[in-house]
Amino acid sequence: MAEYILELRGIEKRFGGVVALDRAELLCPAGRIVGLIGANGSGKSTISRIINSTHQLDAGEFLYQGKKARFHSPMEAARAGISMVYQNLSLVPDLSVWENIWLGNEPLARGGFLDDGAARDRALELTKQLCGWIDIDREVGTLLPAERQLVEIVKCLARNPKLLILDEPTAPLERSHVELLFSLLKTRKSQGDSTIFISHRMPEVTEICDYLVVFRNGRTAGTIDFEREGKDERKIIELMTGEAAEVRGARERSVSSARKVLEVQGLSVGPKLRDVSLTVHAGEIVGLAGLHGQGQEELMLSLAGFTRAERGRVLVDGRACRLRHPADAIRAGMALVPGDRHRQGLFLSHTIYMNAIYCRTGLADTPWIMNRNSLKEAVQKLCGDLRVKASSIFAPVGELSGGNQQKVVVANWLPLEPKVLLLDDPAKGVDVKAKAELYGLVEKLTEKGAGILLYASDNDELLRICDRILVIYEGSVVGELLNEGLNERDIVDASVRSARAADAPAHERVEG
Amino acid sequence: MGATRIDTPGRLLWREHSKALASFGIVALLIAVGGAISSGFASSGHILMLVKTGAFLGFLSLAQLIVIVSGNGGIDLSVGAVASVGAVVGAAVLHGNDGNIAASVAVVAALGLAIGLANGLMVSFLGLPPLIVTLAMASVVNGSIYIYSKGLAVSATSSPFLKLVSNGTALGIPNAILVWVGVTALCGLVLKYTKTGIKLYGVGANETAATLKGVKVPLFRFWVYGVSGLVSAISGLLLLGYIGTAFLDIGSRYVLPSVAAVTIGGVSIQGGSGGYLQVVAGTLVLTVLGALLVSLQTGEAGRQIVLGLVLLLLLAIYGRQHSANRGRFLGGLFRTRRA
Amino acid sequence: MKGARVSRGKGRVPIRDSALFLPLLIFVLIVVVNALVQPGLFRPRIVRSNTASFAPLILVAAGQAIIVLSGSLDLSVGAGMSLINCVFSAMMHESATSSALALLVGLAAALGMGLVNGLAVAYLRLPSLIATFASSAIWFGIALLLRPQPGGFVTPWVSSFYYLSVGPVALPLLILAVGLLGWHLVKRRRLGRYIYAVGSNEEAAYDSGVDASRVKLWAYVLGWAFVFLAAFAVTAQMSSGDAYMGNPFTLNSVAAVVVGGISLAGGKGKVLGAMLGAATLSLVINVIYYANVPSVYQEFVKGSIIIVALTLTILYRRPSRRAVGG
Repeated sequence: MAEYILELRGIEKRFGGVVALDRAELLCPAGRIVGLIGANGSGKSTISRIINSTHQLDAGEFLYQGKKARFHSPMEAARAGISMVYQNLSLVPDLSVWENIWLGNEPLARGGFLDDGAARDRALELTKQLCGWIDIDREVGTLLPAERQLVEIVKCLARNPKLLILDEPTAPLERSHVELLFSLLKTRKSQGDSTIFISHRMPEVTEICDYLVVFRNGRTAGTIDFEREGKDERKIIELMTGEAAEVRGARERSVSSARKVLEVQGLSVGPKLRDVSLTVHAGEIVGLAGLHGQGQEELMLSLAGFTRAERGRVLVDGRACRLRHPADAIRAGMALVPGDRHRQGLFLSHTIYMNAIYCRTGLADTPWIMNRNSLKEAVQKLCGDLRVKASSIFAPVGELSGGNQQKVVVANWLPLEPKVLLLDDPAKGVDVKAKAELYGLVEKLTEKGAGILLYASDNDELLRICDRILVIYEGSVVGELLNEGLNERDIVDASVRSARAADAPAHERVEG
Repeated sequence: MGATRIDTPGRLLWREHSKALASFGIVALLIAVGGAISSGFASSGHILMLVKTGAFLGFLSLAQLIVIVSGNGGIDLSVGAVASVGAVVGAAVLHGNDGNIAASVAVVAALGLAIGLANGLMVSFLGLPPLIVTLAMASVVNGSIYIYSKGLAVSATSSPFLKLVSNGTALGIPNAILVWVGVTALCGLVLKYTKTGIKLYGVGANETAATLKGVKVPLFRFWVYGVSGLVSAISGLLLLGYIGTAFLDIGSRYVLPSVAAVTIGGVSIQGGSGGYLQVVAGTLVLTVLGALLVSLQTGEAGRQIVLGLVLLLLLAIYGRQHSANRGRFLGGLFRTRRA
Repeated sequence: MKGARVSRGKGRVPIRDSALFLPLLIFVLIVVVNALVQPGLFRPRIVRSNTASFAPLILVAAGQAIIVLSGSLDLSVGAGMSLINCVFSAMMHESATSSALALLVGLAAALGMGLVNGLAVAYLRLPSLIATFASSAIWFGIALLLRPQPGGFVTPWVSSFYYLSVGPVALPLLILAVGLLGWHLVKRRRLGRYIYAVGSNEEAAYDSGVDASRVKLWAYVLGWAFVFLAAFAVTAQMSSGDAYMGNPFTLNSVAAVVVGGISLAGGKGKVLGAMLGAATLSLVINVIYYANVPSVYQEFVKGSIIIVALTLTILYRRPSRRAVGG
């Protein structure tokens, strides 16, 4: 058997103008459980998609089992033995568990008819280790998200992959499921099969992996062979955040007022957000730190009135609000710049003008017949102030760059003079210049007395403009840091420490 | 505005109206062809008559347009039935008497609104598929007319004023066309310059974004179906004026053509965009094409075939949808799995 | 497994949760009501005659069901029936060969129409509602060309064949059984499973390696095999050709599919359900007749039943879970 099951060297990948991978390298020793970690935007997702051939590399070397390989589709890669479990499941809701497990891969009997007996038996075997309590005749649509994830993993396993790639597999799972998954991975290892385990959860990575590859800024920052070098968390964090841990200065302005524009008390939303409390003062920028998917988006959407909270109180400017619909939130003075600007923030086929004036249509004090001339002027001025680069305000928004699109989203809210501005990762996919302009705008808003709640997946952004940073982990606020002489390591440390505390002995945890 | 160049009015106009212009171009082409084939086809009198005939389809297509633009699979297959009931009930209230006009309009409008809101209720709040709901509603409404008329032809007639509106002329131009022009202008105003119109486009284009910007989407769609019903019913009243009597099936021949007119004009069936001018163009294409086929004496058979082919062609140009496969033909007759 | 959340539920579902429960219930209800107003309902002669006259709708509903299961729709089935019917009447003469040939050409026409619709929807990605509306105009036009006036000749053996019977079991019933059997054979193969998969979630099916477009095309072709059978049945009954005869079948087939518990979004329901739905709709008309309800109520009742059935189906099947992603 070759020493490495997979060798990727000098990999380069670009999406449009953005460089995702810059001479990245990934050597996966055979028969091991290789962990792949990195911050958001580090390139770890991109390289995993190159491995399973969803994307093709622009340059570089791809060796599989010691031989040069090039697969044109994930299906081809799967047939060669490389199987990846995505976060976007490929399960069909109306078919049963066992039918889904074999979808596209059905065992056949004589004459080309489906061999359902063999399929069911084998499915029973396969599910025993990982999710034995699920009746394989049940429709997948009736399962819980965690259960669906487990079925998706079994589906991949049914193809007997030599290299199994798991992309954030434990995100929807509970601790007990994770234990089952780990014992399954250990079984794979004992059989000589390889696994790549992509996760942001440090404790899990250190528990199950025996080899670690750390990505940063589109490159391999370093590797650690746990079996030979031991598991040193400090070293891991160092690799993740980089040697140069400069001290970021505190913001140059101080919070002027003690007036609370936003108060959240004990907010719980679904399984992802539990008992969150926070305060934002007028003129203050409060940041939410933490890796993606820890509940930040749920918090934003709930405050915006889109998702209803099960428990908790929200006060804007001292007055309690009942947020049953975004219209309520808007009336209270809250505005949301959503995380997915294409799906949640913009009407892509419509003009900048239409997008910029749209939220006025929901306001009672806008006249029914909207004065196009004055509105045109207003939008023109806004776009000028925000430096939106477009051929005219009647250009379709879909043609703009990400940064300019985001500016249009914000421009939508500015005339309403919101008291609280909620920003869900506003600079994601935005170029450097536009990012600076956006954050400059945010700071200007605070001078007028607005309060800002900002989630950014890039800690640098938070460190640059926030007054306070709340660390969110698994749906709760686990730490609050004043931004005085803070650097990124402090934030990552705080997240890791709370992860450790959260994974305390299972019987002490209360399961949701 | 940063480093930008301002679009000239001409360029803006083109981008906004290119599809409508293309369709009008097709209309002109068809008229030219008709004129070449049969003399008098391209005469002003004939063209006016064609446009006048098209007006009634145009009104019903307006109802269809707003429902389709509202998105989420929006479609209203009950427009024909509601028009029929509008004509029948309108005639009954009118009793051939001009004095009852106001009452007639009021009753018909209320009835149309009620039926439309019933559709809206089932689609928006019960979450039932618009296709089937409006189809079933058409059955219920047609059935009701049938019960009411006891299966006999309804012999009610329209009133003189109504006849004047639909059939008369002013300065040589049929009133129906003037009404249509007025409706078109009104639509342009409402759809582009009012809160409601702009809200509508957002709701159809991106339901989530519209909700996040404060629009109560289910409620809004509820009212859209209501307005569709109202417009259909009033159209029925106008049809009554045009034809002179109300009969059971008066509206049913307009249903699927109303959907076709919207699509031919280039409006996306998925909603979120499209103006009434495009629908006017689409209506005229259908009307002129139909007349052209009649004059070609192709017979009903030939007409139907050509109509179907033209529609398919236009769909292939304008109306394609996203698909997982991206439509690739991946070899092998019986193979159902991908390479 | 201490404390982990698990969902409850058995796989082999009790009859109450089966997709056929509601359509079966509604069907039995209608039969009971029918038996009350028409005491002779269960007599062999009546059963035969009912089967014979209901068969066309039942068959076309089955065809529509297959297409709907794959996530599409076909509004041209009625016009297609007319066309096949007109082909029969145009080509059949006294001789056996001519009638055999007519049948073959009719079958070819049916499969051809299915192919055209399937290509338009699955490969050109035209929206199925309007695309099949357009093709229905084309089929109707061709039917009119073949048979401008109702009439024509249909070889007598077609009718006598159709009306063969042994006791209450008539040939139409056999045709229905054969059709259903054919579908069940398909279900035992990958194609059958993929039709459900593609209707349920086309993206996920595609990601799993299914050629979604090919599957949708096959769904149309299979559906039209049933349309052919329906055309045969109706021709046997009418013994003549008429380009207008198919019109009511289109919308009735969609209604039957809905009453039969099949989701219009695809992926859910059973073809047998659609057949029951068609039988139900046909019996409703029967009931109206025998209950001395004026036939003017037919249309109204039909529409109301569809709305009620639809509402029940939707309410009964909550929560909906279309997207399994993420």
